[in-house]
Amino acid sequence: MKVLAIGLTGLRRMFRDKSNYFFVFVLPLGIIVITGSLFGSGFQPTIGLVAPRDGVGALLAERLDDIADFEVVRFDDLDELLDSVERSNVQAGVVISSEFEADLRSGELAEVGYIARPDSAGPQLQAVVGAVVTEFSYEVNAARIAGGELVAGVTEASERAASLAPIEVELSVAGEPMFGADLGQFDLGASSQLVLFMFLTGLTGSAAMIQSRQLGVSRRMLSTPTSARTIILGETLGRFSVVLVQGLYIVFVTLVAFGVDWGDPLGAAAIIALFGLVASGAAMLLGSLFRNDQQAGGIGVMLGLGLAALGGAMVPIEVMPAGMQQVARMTPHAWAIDGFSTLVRQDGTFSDILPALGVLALFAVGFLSVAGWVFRIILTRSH
Amino acid sequence: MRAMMLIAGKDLRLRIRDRSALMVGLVVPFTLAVIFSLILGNAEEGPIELSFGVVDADRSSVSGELMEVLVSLETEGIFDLETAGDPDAAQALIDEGTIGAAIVIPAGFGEAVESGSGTRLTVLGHPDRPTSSTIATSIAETFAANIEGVRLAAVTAAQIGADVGAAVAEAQSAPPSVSLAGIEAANRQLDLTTFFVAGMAVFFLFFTVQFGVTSLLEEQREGTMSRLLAAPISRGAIVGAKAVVSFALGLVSMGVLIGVSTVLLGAEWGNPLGVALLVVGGVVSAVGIMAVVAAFARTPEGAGNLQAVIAVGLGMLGGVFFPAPLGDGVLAGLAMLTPHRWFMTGLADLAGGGGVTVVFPSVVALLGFGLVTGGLAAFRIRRTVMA
Repeated sequence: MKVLAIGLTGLRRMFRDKSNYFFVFVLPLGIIVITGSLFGSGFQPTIGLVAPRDGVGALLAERLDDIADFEVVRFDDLDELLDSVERSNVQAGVVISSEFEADLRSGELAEVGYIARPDSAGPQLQAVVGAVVTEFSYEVNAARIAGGELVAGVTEASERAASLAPIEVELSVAGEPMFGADLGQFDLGASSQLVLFMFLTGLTGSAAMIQSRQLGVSRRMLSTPTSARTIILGETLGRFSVVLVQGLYIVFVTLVAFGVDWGDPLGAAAIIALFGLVASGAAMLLGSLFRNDQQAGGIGVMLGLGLAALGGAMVPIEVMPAGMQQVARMTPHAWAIDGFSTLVRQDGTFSDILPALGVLALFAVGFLSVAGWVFRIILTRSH
Repeated sequence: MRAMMLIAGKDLRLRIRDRSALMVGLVVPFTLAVIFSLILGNAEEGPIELSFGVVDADRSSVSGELMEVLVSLETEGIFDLETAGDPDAAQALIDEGTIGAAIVIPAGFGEAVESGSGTRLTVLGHPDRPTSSTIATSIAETFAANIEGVRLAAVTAAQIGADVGAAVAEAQSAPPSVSLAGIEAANRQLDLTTFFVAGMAVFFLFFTVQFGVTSLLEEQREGTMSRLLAAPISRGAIVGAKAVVSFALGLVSMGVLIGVSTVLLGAEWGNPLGVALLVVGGVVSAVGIMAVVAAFARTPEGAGNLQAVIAVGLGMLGGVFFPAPLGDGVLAGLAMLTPHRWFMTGLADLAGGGGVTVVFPSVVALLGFGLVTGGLAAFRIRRTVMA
């Protein structure tokens, strides 16, 4: 009963601090939305295009627009496009100048400008643009043979070309994609952000424990007929409830707002509960080891973000260098994310994630017992 | 002036004793930058190493021409080329990652081309390497376009009753009427290590400077403010001292981070004068924004909480955590409202070369943020904290 009272006080204190509404409720959502829209849709090269709105140049621009593997974005002038290529907002740029049509009409070589940064995918993407330009060049050639107006001639030539027996190029893609084909835009990000924020909120919330000690609340509790064991359990429950509120909020909101697939409910609940215990243990440890809540706050942010990064919550483990993948396995984050990915990507069930759950349970027991031991020493020492 | 320096000196000593400023200003940003650049170690964007496979099951003169094109592209260093015996072998090479994609020339390809009938080249690809598939497809398509172009010339000539043989010869030998001409672009973006160090530095800068401005509220709560006001010290000197503390903490933490990251991590910050201007601009904006939050708060805790919200919110919108281009959508628009974005953009401009003048727009924007918010803060503080 007392344990519950102490625990609920921890939760109440979290909600008393208005800024926590931002950190616990707004921030995770913002990060999920931003990462989802930046990375979720998969990488598709974008080509910037400066082209005349009519005439032969516009015909070529239309062809470029039709390339399926690119997104083509129009720019008003060369400077703007150059700027965008240099800042890597687009991977490459194509410029059809206003002299393009005049050059073609006078029979001179008409050049199409191609802009790429030397160190990007740009030089290779040139092949794609080149294929379109080659095709177009032959249509101009045919229009010249036929004589007559150039724009009409090119349009006609491309129609005639379409009626010829084609030499098709067929793309056949086979193999297992790294991240699964039917993954939603937010599916991968959501479980990563879940573990990041559960851990981070737990750690930064441990400042409250330090304040309790600074104000002498913990020692006064000890002077009442309350055992150290009760206080430790109560504080742990407080940390756990804070972490759990954070976790359940993210699961609920992403489920409702983005339709994120969390996989088998029993499995997901088990990961969240065990990872919540790990995060509570880490928070207890941090709250016991530090005396200055500002320092603990700084360290909390560093550990919260740093361990999440190492554990694959910011960048998927699969794309890390080999050595760092080994390091990642030492964080609880990696095991929780691994569990979620088994549930979601491979439609796994509770029994499939038992290894991940086992490791998380070990982390939880380890953190909680060390934290409980340290907290008891701090609580009962004589000053 | 002397009083201002005394107050500032006292505050700085306090901050050094209490190690929080050291932690937030140096240890945390540096550690996180190291971790971030470690986990992204091999994701550095660079010239993509491409390698393609080819299967020639046709062995005709036409397929020989395509092989020639591929070999010449390999000689130019555009990609590596592997020859595979059959499509299954090529697919195996793709699956194990040796090649990104493969072009398969089917048996009978040459015959179909010579007789003017339809035929098909196949490109084998992998779902994780769409760029390779796209490029291999384009190479095959360019080759196909050349054959189709000659056919088109023949059909057109036949239609108008011109000499078909001459049209074909012309189409095969004449230079193309349209061609691509390269325009070199500079590289105005930061390498990953520098990006993360700079991003973390400017992100935590906003926390570091708050120690100075927020201490006004601490002086008020502890009753030392009214004593300072009673002393022969101008109000300007008191506010000035707090601003000086924030500036000093901000400048020192940025300076040390720049130095340490250059030596230990090989970060490339760019033109020193340009970097110095950006750092000053960044610190001014951080002090101004944190001061205005402090000015509208009632307690140091309230100020600290709101400052953390503002600093994290601006950092998130400013894109310091994501080394990805923000494009030109809503996110990019929101990012322009944060000093973080201007600071990073200024550094990226320096990375593209072009001397110190390229940072001027960013520095002006940063100073603008700082002076507007700082002015508002000074005005408000005189009417509340010092009333």
